[in-house]
Amino acid sequence: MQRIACDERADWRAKAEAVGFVFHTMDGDRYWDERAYYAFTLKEIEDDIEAPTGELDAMCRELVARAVDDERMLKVLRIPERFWTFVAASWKRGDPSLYGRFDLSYNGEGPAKLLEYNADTPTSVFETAVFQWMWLEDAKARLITPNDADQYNSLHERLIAGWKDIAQKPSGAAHLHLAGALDDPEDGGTIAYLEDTARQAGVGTTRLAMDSIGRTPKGVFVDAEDKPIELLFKLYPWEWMFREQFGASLAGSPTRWLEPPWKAILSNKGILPLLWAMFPRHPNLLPAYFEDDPKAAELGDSYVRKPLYSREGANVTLMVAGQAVDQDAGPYGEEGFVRQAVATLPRYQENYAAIGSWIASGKPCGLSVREDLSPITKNTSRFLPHAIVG
Amino acid sequence: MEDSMKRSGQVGLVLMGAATFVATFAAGSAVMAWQKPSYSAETAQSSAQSAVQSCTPRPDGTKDKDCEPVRRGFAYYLYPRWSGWSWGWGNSYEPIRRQEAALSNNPRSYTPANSMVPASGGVERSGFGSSAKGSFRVSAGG
Repeated sequence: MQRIACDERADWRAKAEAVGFVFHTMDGDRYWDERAYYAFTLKEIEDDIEAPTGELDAMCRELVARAVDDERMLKVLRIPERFWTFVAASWKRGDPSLYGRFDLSYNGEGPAKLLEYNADTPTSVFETAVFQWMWLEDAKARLITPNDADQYNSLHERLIAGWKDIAQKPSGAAHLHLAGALDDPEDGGTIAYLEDTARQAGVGTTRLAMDSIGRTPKGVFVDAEDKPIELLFKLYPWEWMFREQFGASLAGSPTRWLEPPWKAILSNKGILPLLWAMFPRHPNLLPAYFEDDPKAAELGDSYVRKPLYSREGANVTLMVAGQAVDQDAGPYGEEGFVRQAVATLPRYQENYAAIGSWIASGKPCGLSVREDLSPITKNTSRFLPHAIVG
Repeated sequence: MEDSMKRSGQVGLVLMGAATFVATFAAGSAVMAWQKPSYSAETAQSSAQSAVQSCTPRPDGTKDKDCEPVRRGFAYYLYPRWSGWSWGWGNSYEPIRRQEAALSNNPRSYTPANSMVPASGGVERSGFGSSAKGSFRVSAGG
């Protein structure tokens, strides 16, 4: 794994905007950054990223299988009791998942370590699946990379395959609704892209804002035209839906969901100590404990403190020798914290790099790299492309 | 690693099968009344022309069963009629318009299951979405 400085394409902004990638710059700072790329060998991709991602997914599914029959696990994950049956039923019914992203610490030497699993509402999917592939094609043509360079990236194809699988299941729906915070450029763009992949799979779609979802007196969720929602992709966290007004109607509704309700178990930092307990010393896991677990003391005074529910690094604190050396503000933490051993991200010059390893339709299928001057990856961390060069 | 994990350099960005192209375009037209893909007119034309090519066996004898799906930009959905470079119809899109005939075989309407037919009236709204509005960050993604 190498960070290779390179010339950026003079026209990349125009190219980004031409395909609707309007959030390439956030608050005046680069989000998309192609002044360098990360080069991996095929062996690194296959052995250190792809295979562990499949294994992590399998471990996570085993965790869910246990959790849905073990109320102690659901309790420590702070999943509200009134949703236990709703969550468990979705797993036992075999509700499909479309995609997810494992965030890893990896430096090219030694096993990748799981930092967290974005199981419910992963973003950065368009820039991973499409724009970084566009970069590679240009990069080869302009000799920025070797002309035989490749990329670990079949995310786009796997998403389409996923939609096809979902549509063909007995529980599949003839029509897909997609909802989220459409007024946010990143979320709106992510939903638009996923909608496109669904259509390419032959699935009819309707997009709507979360607050446009209606509820009939019988507890049926409907769209803005009062048409019933059979299958809803929501770029909206389960823990938010659970506590909102319509949450009370989730269990009684015939609507099916993507990501499915059982992802509420996995989109929770509490899985980090649970995985460590289930698979101790697994090479791709870091020691982790719930903060109120006496075993947390085994981590000493250097650890990463993470809220059970948190996104984009919010409320995460890096403790070194008892001192908070880095932290990101946010509204999370009410449900409690976990402590995870420190796996400092590899540093290239002044940049810390985190790996996002994607899984879609049940298969590992792509990679994204985010960089930051801080060891905590945040919403504003820059996205750099990658290539396989050896 | 499966071949599909590492993309082949022989696969172009905007190639896809003719059937997929038609279905996709039909969806965009019928549901959203959006009539253009986001990429440039030149690219759209070449993708239409190359669509058949992508379904033919590759030099190594392999064949993409589903042909190659198109990678579109957000603009395809966000900006109706935005071509990436200009607004409005252009001659280069003529091949795409001819494919609208496929719409007759690609209905986008749907019939809800009986169990989901809502009672008339009495629909409440805004029962979801409040957390995003109250969040210190608007994005609900991660």
